[in-house]
Amino acid sequence: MSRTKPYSRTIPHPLFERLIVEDAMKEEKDSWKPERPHEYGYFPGCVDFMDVEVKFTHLNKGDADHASIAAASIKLLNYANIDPLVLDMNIFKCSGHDQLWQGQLEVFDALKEHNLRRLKESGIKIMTCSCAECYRTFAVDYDLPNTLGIKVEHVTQTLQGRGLKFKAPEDVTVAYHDPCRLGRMMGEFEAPRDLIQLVDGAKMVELENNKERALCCGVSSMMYCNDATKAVRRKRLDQGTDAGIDIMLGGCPKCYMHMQCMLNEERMNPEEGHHHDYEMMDLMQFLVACLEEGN
Amino acid sequence: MSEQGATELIGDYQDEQIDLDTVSKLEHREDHSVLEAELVKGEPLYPHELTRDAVLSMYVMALFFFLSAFVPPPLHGAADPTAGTAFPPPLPDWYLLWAFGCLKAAWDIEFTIFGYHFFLMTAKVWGTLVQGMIIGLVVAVPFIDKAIGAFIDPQYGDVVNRGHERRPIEDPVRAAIGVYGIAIVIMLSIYSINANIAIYYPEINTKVLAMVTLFGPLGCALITYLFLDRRRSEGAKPLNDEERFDLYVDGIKDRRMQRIYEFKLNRCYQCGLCDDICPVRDMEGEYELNIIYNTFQNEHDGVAMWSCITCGMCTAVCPQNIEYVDYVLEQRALTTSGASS
Repeated sequence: MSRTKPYSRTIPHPLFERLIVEDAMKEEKDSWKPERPHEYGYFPGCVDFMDVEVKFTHLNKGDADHASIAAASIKLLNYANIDPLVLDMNIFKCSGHDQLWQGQLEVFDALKEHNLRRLKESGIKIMTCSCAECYRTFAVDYDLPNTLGIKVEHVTQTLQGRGLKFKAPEDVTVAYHDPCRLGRMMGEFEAPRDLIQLVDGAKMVELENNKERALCCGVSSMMYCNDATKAVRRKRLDQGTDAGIDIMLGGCPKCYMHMQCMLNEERMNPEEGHHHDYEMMDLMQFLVACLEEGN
Repeated sequence: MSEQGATELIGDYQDEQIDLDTVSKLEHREDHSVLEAELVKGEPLYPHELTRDAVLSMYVMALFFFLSAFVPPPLHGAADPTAGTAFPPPLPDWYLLWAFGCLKAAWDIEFTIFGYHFFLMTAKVWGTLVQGMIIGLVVAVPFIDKAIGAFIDPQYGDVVNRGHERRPIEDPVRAAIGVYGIAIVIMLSIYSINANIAIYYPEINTKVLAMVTLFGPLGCALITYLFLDRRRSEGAKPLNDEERFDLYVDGIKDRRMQRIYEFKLNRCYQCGLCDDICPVRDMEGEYELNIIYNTFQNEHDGVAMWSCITCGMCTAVCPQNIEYVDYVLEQRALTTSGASS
């Protein structure tokens, strides 16, 4: 028993949690109408909130830019000739995934009610999310296909099979980290891999545990960040080192956030002797970096 | 040492090992040395296993001596070589009836092409070869699997490491072939005793039996495939409200299920794959457990409700497709209902 640091609850950030609960419980009765009709709607999720949270915790240097995932997704959708209606936090609320999985059913129901009302008003046919957790929540827990007749897609599924072309600035070896919500729960393993295959100059390798047996990033639904969950994450990062990759790609902003947090922590404390010599990126960020000139 | 009994010694040893294991895991947890934490537990060869095996061997030998000395085998009268053939003819043991059926069902393979008569195989040779082919097919199944995997997906053709579908519902074709094999063995066994059947049921003659042997297994395989394929097309969907209500009603009727997911957890047959794969148990576990089974027994000592990272790996490996994560989700909602308002 040589524990020097006690367990500490670093996430969810108390302020962040309070913000979402406060936001959920505030009823908004006013109606809203988009300026023009859209077929596609894009839901960026809480990436802006996450930026706030990550910048104010002591663990990060604050260089994680989650909002760029949303910007990258919109850019890629435009590149694929899709003009999405951006369902951002001014109009919508958080999808409520974390609240649902933390057991806060009242908060989730309030968020769901608001979002369903806004979705009816928006008049979209297909909804696409860059976040695997939002994707699962809208498809399964909101049950949008059956209740409102709106098809829910992950952004990789939307971009798949549209004849896009990418070119990596330099030759890189990448590996795809399956988010549990996208992979195991929604059964989508191939769409992100197909997109990575489109990138000219990127060699894709598989991590030791992949697809159905992919390891988790360790922090689901922002429950805790303690030694045990960090060990899960480190195991995953070690598999990346074993595979000899330059970039690990994730399909979920939460995976990106937690992995990036751990990599930063390791770089800030080199005396602990853990080091992983690669970067974590979201798939959307990577694809935007690989867009050819002139697009 | 010699004063201690063997049982006491083994018990002490195991306790010591478990303590060492726990301490070392706790010590290493700070370093996150996941890969080093896997210590091998077990009993040593000497003296435990050696002594146990020696005692058991002596006991069996003693039993043999006792039986051969005091219970000699009975001897029947001498066989009569001049006796005629018995009718109905004597049959082989029941587990060899299918082979006998193969011999009976085989026919001479001969055919005529352009006026030339070819005689390929007699029924005896052909019937014997078929038995070998059936056994050979059973032996070859893993290799065929691997070859098919390598053909379909050359990059990840290593079926052995990657694993393949375990649930019949996910591979109806293979399941149908298996059902066909079982059915044909049973039908061949029945076909082989046609003479005995004809004594008691004259209407079931050899012709009828031959038709049933030919088409019965095919029908079984077809039914299996259609049933599994329909189930697969339904897919693994979350329960809707009506199904949940039905489960509740059934539970109240049977006085067994207090919670809806107990019905699903009840399918667990304790193979322990969930425990092997669970990342939380990998980091925190000290003893072998069975997550789903223990939860079903209302012992939340597998993965504590709030430690579960809901990654769904247990469901991915579960042969019964038990959605443990849905259960955790529901329990969390029940536990904290009313807390956040």
